[in-house]
Amino acid sequence: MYKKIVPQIKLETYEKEVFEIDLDIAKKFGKLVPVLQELLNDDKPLTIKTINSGTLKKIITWCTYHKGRSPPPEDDDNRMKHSTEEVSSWDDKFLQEDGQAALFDLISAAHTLDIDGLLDVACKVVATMIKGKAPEEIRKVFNIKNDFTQQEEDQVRKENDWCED
Amino acid sequence: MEDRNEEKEDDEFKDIKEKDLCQDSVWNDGSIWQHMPDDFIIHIFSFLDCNSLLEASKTCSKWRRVAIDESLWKDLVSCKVGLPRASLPDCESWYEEFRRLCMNVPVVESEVLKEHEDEVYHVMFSPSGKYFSSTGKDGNVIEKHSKSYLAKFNKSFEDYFSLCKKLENVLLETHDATFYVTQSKLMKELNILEIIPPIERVEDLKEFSYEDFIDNVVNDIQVQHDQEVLVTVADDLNIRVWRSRQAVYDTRIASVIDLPNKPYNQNLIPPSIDSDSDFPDEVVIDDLDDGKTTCCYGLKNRKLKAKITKKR
Repeated sequence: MYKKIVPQIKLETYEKEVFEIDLDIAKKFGKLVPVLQELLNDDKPLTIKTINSGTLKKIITWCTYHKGRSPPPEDDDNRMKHSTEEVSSWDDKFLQEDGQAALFDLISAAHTLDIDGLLDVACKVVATMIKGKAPEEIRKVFNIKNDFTQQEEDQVRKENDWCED
Repeated sequence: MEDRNEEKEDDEFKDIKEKDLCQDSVWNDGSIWQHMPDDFIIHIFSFLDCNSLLEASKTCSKWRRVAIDESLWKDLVSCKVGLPRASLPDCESWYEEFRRLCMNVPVVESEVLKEHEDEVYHVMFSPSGKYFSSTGKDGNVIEKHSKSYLAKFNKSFEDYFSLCKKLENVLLETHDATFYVTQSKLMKELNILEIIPPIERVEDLKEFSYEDFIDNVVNDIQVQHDQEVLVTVADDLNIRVWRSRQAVYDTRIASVIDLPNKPYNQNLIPPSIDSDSDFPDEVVIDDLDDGKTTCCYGLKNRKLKAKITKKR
């Protein structure tokens, strides 16, 4: 049977697991674009020790799902900033289903590999978790330690005691 | 060659690698989110609106430091005034500028003055900013005193209009730029003012938006920056006074003291309302040198039509 040969590159993760990634997926990894040709010709995988296998799997799934879907506008000024509205329910579920640590890894990896769309959507999901919450609630959700002294806390509250509406 | 590439990549990833490796211990000692690199937090914060950003800044010292990042606030200002980032003038602190736009720009209607009996054409602040006067089709020149304001008036009528003209297309270099942009939009898109019912409580205070300006022609707009007051006059016979939210929060809602409609003064040609067209076409208000007297003129074809002098 004829099998179409898809060009692939190899990446090795923190756990030394080697992944073969289709070229059209790998093209989404901004950081790798300049070295793609070399990687294609090279049988030895590129090692990225900062990314674990679970995270890379998620990234590949995400890129595969979004392949062919139109990317968000890249023009910086037209980009919808300061809004978390356009996260699709698929993205929301996909990014949150493995918990915060996995989401954090995903953000780190998207940053490392320079995958704009993923980085944006993952950060939006985190922003949604912050939105509309009081400081105490935010600390609880993210397990953040309040490291202000009483004096500092009063100061911060005073400085930021204004709002938009 | 390839090896070198690999090394380079490794180097670039080193920072994050170290964080990853110590992730378990970090996780137990507070939160990965608290210790994540500033860039990441800024990226996350870039999707927050102003109020959420302010709340986030109260959670811990790191988030506080990151939340006042200038690029975040420049974005917020850019959204608020509807101009691309690149067109914004320089600004020392975008955080302060955003705060100013929210709190110190006069967009809250605080008083509606109904002294005029016909369409109101002109309004002007006195150099001291303590007074403004208006004139209209009814031939009257009416002087107002907003008692809680004491700052200096530093923009002349002409300055204001030349700024507005420049702004039709864009931008200014002054600190007041963004405020003017908001206003010029108002002048441009809607030269009209809706009739708004009188305000009873602070919660009822209405802020102006383009939709508010529907029915009436706004004849003149004057702004007094230092005191955060804007006055509009329109063909609905009303003078509307707009103040900033900060002024309202400080309960600086001044009760406007009416000075007499009738001239105080002796040397006066009484305003005539013989014909519709015989109204002052200009109003001038001055603080006299002695600092105690305010003089107010209505002019018709550059001739003195009415004069009111008030001793303080």
